[in-house]
Amino acid sequence: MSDAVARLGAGALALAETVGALALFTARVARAALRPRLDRFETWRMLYRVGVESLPIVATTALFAGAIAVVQTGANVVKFRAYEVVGWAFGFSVFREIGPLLVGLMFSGRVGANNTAQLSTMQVTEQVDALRALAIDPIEYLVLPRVLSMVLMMTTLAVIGNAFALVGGIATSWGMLGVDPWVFWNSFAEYVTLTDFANGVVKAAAFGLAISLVSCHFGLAVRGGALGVGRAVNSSVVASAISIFVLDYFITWILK
Amino acid sequence: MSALGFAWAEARGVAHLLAETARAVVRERPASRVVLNQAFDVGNRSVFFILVTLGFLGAILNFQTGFQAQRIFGDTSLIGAATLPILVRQLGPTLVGLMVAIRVGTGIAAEIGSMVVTEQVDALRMCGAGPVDYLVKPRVLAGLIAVPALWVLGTGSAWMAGLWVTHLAFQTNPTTYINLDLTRGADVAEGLCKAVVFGVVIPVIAAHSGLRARGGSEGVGRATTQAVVSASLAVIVLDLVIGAAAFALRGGAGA
Amino acid sequence: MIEFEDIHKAFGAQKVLDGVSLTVSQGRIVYIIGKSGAGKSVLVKHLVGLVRQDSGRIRFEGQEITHFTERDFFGLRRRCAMVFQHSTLFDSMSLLENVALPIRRHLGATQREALEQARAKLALVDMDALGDRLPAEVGDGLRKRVAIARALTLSPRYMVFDEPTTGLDPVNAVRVDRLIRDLSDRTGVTSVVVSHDLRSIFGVADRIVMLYQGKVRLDGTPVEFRTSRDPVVRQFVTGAVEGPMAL
Repeated sequence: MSDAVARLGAGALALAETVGALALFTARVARAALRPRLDRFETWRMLYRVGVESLPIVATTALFAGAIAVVQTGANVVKFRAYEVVGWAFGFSVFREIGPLLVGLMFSGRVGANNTAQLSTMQVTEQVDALRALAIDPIEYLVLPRVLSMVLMMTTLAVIGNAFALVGGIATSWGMLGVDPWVFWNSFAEYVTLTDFANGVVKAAAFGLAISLVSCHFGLAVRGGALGVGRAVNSSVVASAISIFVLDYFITWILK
Repeated sequence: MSALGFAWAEARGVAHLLAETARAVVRERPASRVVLNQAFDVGNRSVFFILVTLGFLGAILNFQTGFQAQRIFGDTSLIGAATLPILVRQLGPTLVGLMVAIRVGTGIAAEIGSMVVTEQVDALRMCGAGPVDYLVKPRVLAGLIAVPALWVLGTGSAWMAGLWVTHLAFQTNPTTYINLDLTRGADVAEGLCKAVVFGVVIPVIAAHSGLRARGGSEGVGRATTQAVVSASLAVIVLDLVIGAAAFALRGGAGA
Repeated sequence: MIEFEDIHKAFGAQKVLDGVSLTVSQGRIVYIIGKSGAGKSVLVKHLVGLVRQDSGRIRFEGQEITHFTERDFFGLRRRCAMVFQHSTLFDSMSLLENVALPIRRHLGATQREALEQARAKLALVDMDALGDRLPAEVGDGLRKRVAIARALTLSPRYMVFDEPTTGLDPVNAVRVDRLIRDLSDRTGVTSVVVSHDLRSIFGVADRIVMLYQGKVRLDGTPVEFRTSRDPVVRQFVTGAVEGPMAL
């Protein structure tokens, strides 16, 4: 019994330590961002890499997410003969919730994990120390470009993802429910507002910020060799996922 | 084009490993005690994570639905009844699946991956212990048991969070919220089926990525990233497939 | 001029530096030697702020750097460059881009200008033909030369070399030794070299400092070292298996 309590206590302490370290890291990044000496070359490189990495996976996920959303509400639509409402219901749930959430989680897996893997490998092989020895601030040179490109990309992907989800949704409701694409589009265009759309975009940007900060932190804070790198990636995606859900909740609440 | 080709090669590799694991299980089933211990271990590592994330999900879902319902119908009494089936058969298993892919998937890939690059797996082979038998099989069986359990816990957490949120935000009476009318056995079956499938597929995918790790820390990093991406994608695809099948079985568009 | 005054450093329970004092004069090549784990790398990393002392003082060109922050060290690192033991090139870039990076960051050049200047630096170490290769594609000796070129981009007055010839084949080792000697002779760069390569030590050093059990055992010229009667020094110089130094 006391063993379980001790482990719980140790777990809580570890959690507090992680949250504290993350907060400190965010503060350092914020301070560097105030006088941004952004490496233009590195930033463009990051933007390109992040975009290329994430686009296929997000597009695919969004397509499927759109299809899933329709399949799941399909029974109710048929039961209540609510064919006209499909577009609207789809629109607001995908744009506000499912879209940013799934895109965020997939982005965290594809880009966040990769980011942590690369940064932690650099840290473990002393390349980060080599940067410092060249009087180059790792936060300025490594972190800021990544944060910027990940936030920009997530926001863009939210929009692109919405488009793909729409395609998936229209196709599925046509194929499975026999809802005419025009009917779908009409109810969608009529009832889905810009606020719904903006809501999702704000969430996406927030998720992008969280994922970038978390993945960079765990990458640079790694300890130990190959296993340490694996653990860093693990911690990074877990923490990103938690941040996404927490942020999702608070933004939903605030932006209602 | 190469992304598609890569995905196809990956899928084939995973299917191969799955078949090998199945054969290994049939050949020699490990003791129940061992499997239960590992399932407990897997569940233990993820339970806090699942409870927290699914809890927030439940809160968001009910809040969002309630808010829209209030805006359109002015009545939130059906929220609990309406969100529960979605939670049980769809959002619950999918998000539990994604969280398990994240937590357990990277964990397995990292463990096996670092064993591969430090040549421990080769050493195992020299001692006559095949990696499928020794590393993959127990983890797959553990997932088979642990993930459905996590699904129950996660869905429960989301449901409870929903109760709390609707009470706070819309003053919904808890007894009104707790409404099992719209939840069918078929919903539970669909959710359980998804959970079981995820429980098997995620460890296999993660182990597959781990076993193919090459080249020191960089290889481990790549393996863990690949594991989480492939496992997450698999969850989404399988979710659609099982959901569509369930939809068709329930009578489809003619119901 | 570099001055270490009574430096103490421990990692956890292990005391690595136990009161080390030494002075490095301008334009000299000083070799810090000792057996593996004697604290040589730890000591020199203090100079560029990658390790911070537990107690003691350090002066660099007359200025006290004991309480320097990371920010303060940035200025110093442009005057005192470091070549790491494993070369530690950035493996996501080509050799040329590795050398171009500090040029771009500190000398206000565009990427294209930086690449041109980097090519010139690589030519100094005979590596310009292989500039487009990745670090993983070339051998240790070549990587070491590129690392040296990279460290020289900001024309530092001081260089720290952490085991520059360890793990290199004899031909490449001699090349590196010559580079270090040339730097000092032609440009007056002050070099601090960590090493346990005896041939380099006696071939290149102006002065030798031996660390043993966290303290300075002997600080003198190569001749003084070779003729020393101290049993610890003798064991190191002769490479004997038996002696006061535990293996």
